[in-house]
Amino acid sequence: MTGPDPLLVLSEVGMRFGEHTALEGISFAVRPGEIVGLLGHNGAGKTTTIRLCNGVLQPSSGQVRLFGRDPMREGDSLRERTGVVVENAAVDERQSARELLLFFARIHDLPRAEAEERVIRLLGDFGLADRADDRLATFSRGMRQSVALARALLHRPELLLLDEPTSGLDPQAAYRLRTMIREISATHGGGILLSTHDLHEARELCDRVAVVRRGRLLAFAEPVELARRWSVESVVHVDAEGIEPTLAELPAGVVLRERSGIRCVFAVRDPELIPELVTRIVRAGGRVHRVEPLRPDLEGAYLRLHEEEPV
Amino acid sequence: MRPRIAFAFAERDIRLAIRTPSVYLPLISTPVVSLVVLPVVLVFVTRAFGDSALAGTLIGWMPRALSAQLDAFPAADRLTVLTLRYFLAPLYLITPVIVTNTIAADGFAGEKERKTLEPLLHSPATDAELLTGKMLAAWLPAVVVGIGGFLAYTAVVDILTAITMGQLLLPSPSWVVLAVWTAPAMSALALGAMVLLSARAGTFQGAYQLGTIVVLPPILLIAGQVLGLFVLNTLFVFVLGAVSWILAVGILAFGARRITRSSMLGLTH
Repeated sequence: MTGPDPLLVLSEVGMRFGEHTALEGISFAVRPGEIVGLLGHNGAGKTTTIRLCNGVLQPSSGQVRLFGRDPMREGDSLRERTGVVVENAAVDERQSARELLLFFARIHDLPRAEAEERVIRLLGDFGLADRADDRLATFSRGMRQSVALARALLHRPELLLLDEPTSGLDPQAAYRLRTMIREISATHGGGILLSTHDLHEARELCDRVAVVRRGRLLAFAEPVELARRWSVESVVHVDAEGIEPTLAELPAGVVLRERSGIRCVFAVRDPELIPELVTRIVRAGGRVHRVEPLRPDLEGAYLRLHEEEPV
Repeated sequence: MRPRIAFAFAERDIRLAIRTPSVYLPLISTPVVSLVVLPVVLVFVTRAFGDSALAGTLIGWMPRALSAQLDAFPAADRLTVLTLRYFLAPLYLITPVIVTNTIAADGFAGEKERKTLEPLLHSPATDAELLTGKMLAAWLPAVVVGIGGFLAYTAVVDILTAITMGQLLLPSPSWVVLAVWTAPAMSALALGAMVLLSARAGTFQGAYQLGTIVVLPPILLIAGQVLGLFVLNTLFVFVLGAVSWILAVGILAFGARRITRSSMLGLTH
């Protein structure tokens, strides 16, 4: 099957800093119109990967191709076509939102009138029009992150590189930013590489996910495929009363993950164990109101991948 | 290299520097103290001790070429002339050097400390545009403050000496060369040192403190003059500027070659 040329391709990319191996054998691609997640714990190598993608760092081995070209050789022109949100927004608090965006518009060589029009529109889109001239020091973390996203979008890039854009945000701000990312993906037609350690975010936003750990790629596939291939656990929600005797003696391969009121969440190694679990509850005098087996999920796959990888 | 992009970086850094108290306070206090307050104090002190034996001894230490120039003034005025026209000349050099040091520390190490450097590195600006912009941001204000300081110093000294001695001491040829040739060269030299040092310093304060080493040459000039080893006459000042320019260009070229996007992030292979 052939599709449009990928915007970004990493082939067996490695990165060393002295004796320390930050990345090894990283391969994945981002195609137009898709959101690819770079999923891993802190220190997995996500930020280094984004720097390599945009030609800020030179890989020690392997090859990065950005729009089919080498970002280390042609980074200055290729970076005209990428937009980046770095970790923690990285906006200078001494500037206003308008000033910061107009400065980056100058760096992107946008004509002044066009830059002003785009800045006003973007700040309006992000609900910051009335704060345009306030110093960023007075902005909340979520608002700064929105300004950082506006900065990345200012020159209409074909590829967005987002490094933990919702990290440290409160749930409401994170939800709003995720909604924005989804809207951007739907309207701008380019690709997005989204680095995150948030499984929920990866599942919700990403078309494909690259799972990385300690600089190594563990898997790269669609979230559904990852879950199907790697999640050995099934999760079942059981609403029941009088369950205590059964909890004291669960069948082998069944683990209680959570309990809230009459709701218990079990992880079961094999779905065949679910009838046995229910039978035990009933035989012990419990009353079962509802049993809901859930599909294998990305969380299970992610945890399994990290368990399998030697530390 | 696109000069307009480099100037965009320079303009940004200058605007941000003058909004930061730890940056703008030394930029105001240094010239005010050394080029306005100090000459006022020294005029009164040297007038008070102009006829003393100590003044005679000090003038006697000076090289013959200098004491011959002082002979043209009445004995009571010689210490004032020696102080304002010669001794304060190296002190004047400290002002532009401090300006460069402070803004460069903020623009290089301070940017790294605030973690605001990375978006600049992800921009389409070339390494040369980014580096040139940051260097201009530190150097151009030093030139402006240096020339402004020279004009202010000239005005203060001339007003005071017109009142007390009945004549104008400045501008002298050596001071003009100092302000338009040597001071910009010393600032460029300080900039070169800061570019190299900032890579080692992780914070604005760290870089600023490391950078205070750049005031050493003016202090050595002060000591050398007081000890009668040399005089900052026009030729000396011109040669000092030329040597500083040569060293500055060499250090800046060396520093610029070593600086890459990854080294600016503090990462090396």
